[in-house]
Amino acid sequence: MKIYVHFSTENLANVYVVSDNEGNGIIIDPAYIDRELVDIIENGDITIKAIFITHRHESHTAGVGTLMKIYPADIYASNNEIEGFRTKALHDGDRIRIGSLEIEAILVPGHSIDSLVYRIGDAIFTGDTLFSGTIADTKGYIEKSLLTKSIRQRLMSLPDSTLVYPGHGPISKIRIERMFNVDLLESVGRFRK
Amino acid sequence: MFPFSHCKAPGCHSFAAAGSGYCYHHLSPDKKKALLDSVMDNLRLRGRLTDVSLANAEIRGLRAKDGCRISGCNFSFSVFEDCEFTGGLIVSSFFDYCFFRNCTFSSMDIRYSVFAGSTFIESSIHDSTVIHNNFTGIDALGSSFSGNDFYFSSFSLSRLVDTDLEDCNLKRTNFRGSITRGVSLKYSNPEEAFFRNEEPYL
Repeated sequence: MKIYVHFSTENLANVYVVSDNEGNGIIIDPAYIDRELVDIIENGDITIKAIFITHRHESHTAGVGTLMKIYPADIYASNNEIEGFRTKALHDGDRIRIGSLEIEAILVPGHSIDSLVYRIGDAIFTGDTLFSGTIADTKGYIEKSLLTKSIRQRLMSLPDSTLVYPGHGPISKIRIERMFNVDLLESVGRFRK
Repeated sequence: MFPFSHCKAPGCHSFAAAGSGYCYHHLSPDKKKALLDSVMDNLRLRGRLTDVSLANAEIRGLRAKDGCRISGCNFSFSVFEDCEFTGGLIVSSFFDYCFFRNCTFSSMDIRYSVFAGSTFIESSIHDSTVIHNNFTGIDALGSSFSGNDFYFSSFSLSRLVDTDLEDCNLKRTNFRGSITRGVSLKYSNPEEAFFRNEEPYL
């Protein structure tokens, strides 16, 4: 499996291209499509078979329209429609196979009610749920509490060595977040401002 | 990316070295030496290392070829002493929980890599592009991180002691929960970094 990280300067988001060893590829959260991203796909001889959306916020979906013109593919999300395109709706626990990639959808609500995390092998693509050292912004305390609980139950239960690829900011590992995530530590009183 | 297969040794959760089934630490001494020699030679002579997992290794006295490229590699829990990397690229690689003593990274381009939980003693990363890197929870003592672009990197919950971050771009750099003592930020832009937990980071 290969994982390519592309930083979208338009909306400060990470776009991920994941491919198996035969070149079957997916894109996770196409925030913006630029030349550099197209180069990653073309130079890697990757055939885009599917687009996965973690949640329906523009900073993660704005490139879908452009992407569908260049690499038309199935779109998977927790909603039925993204940027005017019909999607294949995913639910918690659903597994999709693209080439030799098996993608599992994990529901982690809080930042938005429809937030999905995608697990592929030992990597998770967390969108706007878990970031390096922090968690995503929420509308209020109830949502923050829901997000913290969701992350603890669904993500912190994964093995230490699981690689974390967030929608914004640097990449990480579950062990690192368990030890050093300020928001998660604060939520259990192990870190004070 | 390095293969996501785990070490077969009981209780070990490290990623296995390619083709061996065991992580570097659990290889037999002769295989360990052969793998380490191969990695060192690649970095010294070819200046290229891709998709290699070498967790728990001990690398000493390495002077990587100028312009070396390290991509998709895993060096978690490794020890680096007296090592030098100049003018190269490190991308999507893992150096978490490593120990760096007297190591130098100069004029490097380091992106989307992880140094979290590592210890830097009398080491330096300088005059480099270091964007989108994870330095969460590091301990740095008597080190220098000056002259770098740290855009969107995180030093959250780190301990920086007698360590310089002078003339750095700190835009969107996260220092929340970090402890700093004897740290100089001269000519840097800390006003664009995040220090307090109350500030909305993302």
